[in-house]
Amino acid sequence: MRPGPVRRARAGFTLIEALIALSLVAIVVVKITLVMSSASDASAKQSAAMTLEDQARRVLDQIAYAIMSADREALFPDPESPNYSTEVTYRISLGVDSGEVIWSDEEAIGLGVRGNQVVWRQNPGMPEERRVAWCNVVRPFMEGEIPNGADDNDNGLADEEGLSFTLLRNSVTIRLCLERPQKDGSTLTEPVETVVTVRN
Amino acid sequence: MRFPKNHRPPGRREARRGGVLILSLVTVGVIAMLSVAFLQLSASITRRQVGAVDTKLSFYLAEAGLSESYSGIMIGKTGAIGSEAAPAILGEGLLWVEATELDAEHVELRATGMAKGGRATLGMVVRKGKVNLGSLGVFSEDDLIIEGGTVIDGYDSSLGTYDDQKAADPASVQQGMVGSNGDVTVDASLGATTVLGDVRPGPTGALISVGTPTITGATIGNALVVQLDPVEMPDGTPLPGFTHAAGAPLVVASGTYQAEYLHLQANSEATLQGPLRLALDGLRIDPGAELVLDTSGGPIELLLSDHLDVDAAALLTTTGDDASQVTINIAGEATVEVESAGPFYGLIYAPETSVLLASGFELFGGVVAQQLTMAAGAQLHYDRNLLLAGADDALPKVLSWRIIELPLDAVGSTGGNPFDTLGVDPTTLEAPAQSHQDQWLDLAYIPRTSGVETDYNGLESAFDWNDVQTVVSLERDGGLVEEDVVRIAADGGLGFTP
Repeated sequence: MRPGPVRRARAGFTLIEALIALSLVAIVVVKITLVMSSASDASAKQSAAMTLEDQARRVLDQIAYAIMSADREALFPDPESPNYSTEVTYRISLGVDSGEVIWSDEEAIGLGVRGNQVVWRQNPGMPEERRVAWCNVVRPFMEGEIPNGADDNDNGLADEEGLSFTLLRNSVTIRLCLERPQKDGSTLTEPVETVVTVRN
Repeated sequence: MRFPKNHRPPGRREARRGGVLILSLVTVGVIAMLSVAFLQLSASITRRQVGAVDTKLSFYLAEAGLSESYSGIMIGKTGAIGSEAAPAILGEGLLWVEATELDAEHVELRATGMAKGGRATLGMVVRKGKVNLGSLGVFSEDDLIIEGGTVIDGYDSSLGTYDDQKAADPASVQQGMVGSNGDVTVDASLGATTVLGDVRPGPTGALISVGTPTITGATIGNALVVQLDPVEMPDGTPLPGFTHAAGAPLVVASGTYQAEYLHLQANSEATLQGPLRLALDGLRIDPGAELVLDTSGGPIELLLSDHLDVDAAALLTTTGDDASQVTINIAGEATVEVESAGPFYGLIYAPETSVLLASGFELFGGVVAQQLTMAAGAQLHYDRNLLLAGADDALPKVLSWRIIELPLDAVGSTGGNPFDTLGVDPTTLEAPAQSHQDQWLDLAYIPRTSGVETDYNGLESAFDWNDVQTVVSLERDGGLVEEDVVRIAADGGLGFTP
């Protein structure tokens, strides 16, 4: 009877086998982690882009609906391309009483003091002023635009800021550009634009 | 005991296989969790975006409703389209418009659109179209009497002067327009009376010819009574009246003014410079005085509330020959006597008082009054270009447009299929153009088929307008609610009375 060799064969992994196995597992885990991290980053970036686009659209719609109801004669200032304004003041119709149109208090939509906010104000400049920030990630300048006195992005405006209004007769062009910094140091940018007709 | 060379105990094999399984499960689990989280975020954003799109669709549907409603008002309908119980269908959505008469002139419209999960309501106030004063020519609210020796004709100032057109083709000035809500009497017993154009008495009035006047145009009556709106004087305290004596000419520069009166004494001269809106209680021009209306810079509107008195030896003149540039509006029961020789280019509108145009007066434009007396020898040349000038007022005007915020619990504002939400079957719904509120129609007309005057009293929806050649008289009674329709049907309504 020779039990010796049999005991060695059943003893388990050799050290080398264990090391190889651990190395392989480590490589696989690292690879999986990298893939998952990359997928997670892509997913986060994608969702951040979607969120930013959604936010930009919502703010743009909010501005557009407000300006649609405005009184053309009380829409101020009255800039025409290549000039633009970063704020509009207006009043909206509340209905008609005894044949006379009832107008709201003056309202304004524009960039806030910090420059990155879209702010709606009621009775601007008055003691009873009310203000609501609709968004606080406005880009300093429109996408493709740098402050050099030129129209870098070929939209007819020079050095336009992240929120701009251009008016031609009864139509107001609203341009809005939002940006949001990412963890990796990159920046997401979402420019949106619409043209609305003032109804009153 | 001996084992085969490759033999491994069963327990150890299971342990090693289980390790891979666990690792795989953990990996799959993590990926699944990440995927679920991403899907949830995407779904949430997509829901919001779809919600925004549905709201926009609803908004456009409501706008389409307002547009259809406005078109209806233009042709005499109430503006109401469908209802929440029976809306109109358009594409994949539905809409209805409620119309409320605020007063005789104004209608408030409330249009609601529903598409998929969205709902939007828009409000609009419309001022109904006014009578185009430029289309009336020479018109009186009461019976109109044209005395012997009067000449009424018409031309188009956009094509040149009256004299040029008449010289080029005498037939071109046969565009006169005479009308009334009552009778029109053309009296040629004391001299030749000529109307080169149409004479239209009111719906219940008649054309009465005395002697043998010359009338070259149509003499069929107006289908509708023309409603003349009163003239509104501006609010505010007027400046003291001003009397101007002979000497240096008085010049009233462009602007808007209100004063008690302006009196030009004998041989004085004054010029009003357009654009100007001047409201006065009275205007008097004595013999030898001249009032010049200078429209070279813009139109001039004179509003008078008490009297307009132009002496026969005075002059009331205009610098231009465009009648649409001068309007004299006379409010209330003021006294209006224009004895000046003219020529005067403009429109005189005095819906609540009588106007006397003396024998030497020559008017290029139009005159509308409650009662109009044209002395023998007066000449009235209706300017058809006034039709265009007054066309804007003839259309309904949008005074107010607004977005109406919905209460949080408004039906359909929380999503869902709008047809299910309102409990309507899309196959039974009509398009917006077919969903205008029905009206009772009281109509006298001449059909194409028989040519014999026929009456119709019934719902407009049951009437075939294609057979109408000429409308003799027409009256709509405004909107009918459903109960009225049922009652009329039960009473044997929808009658057609030949």
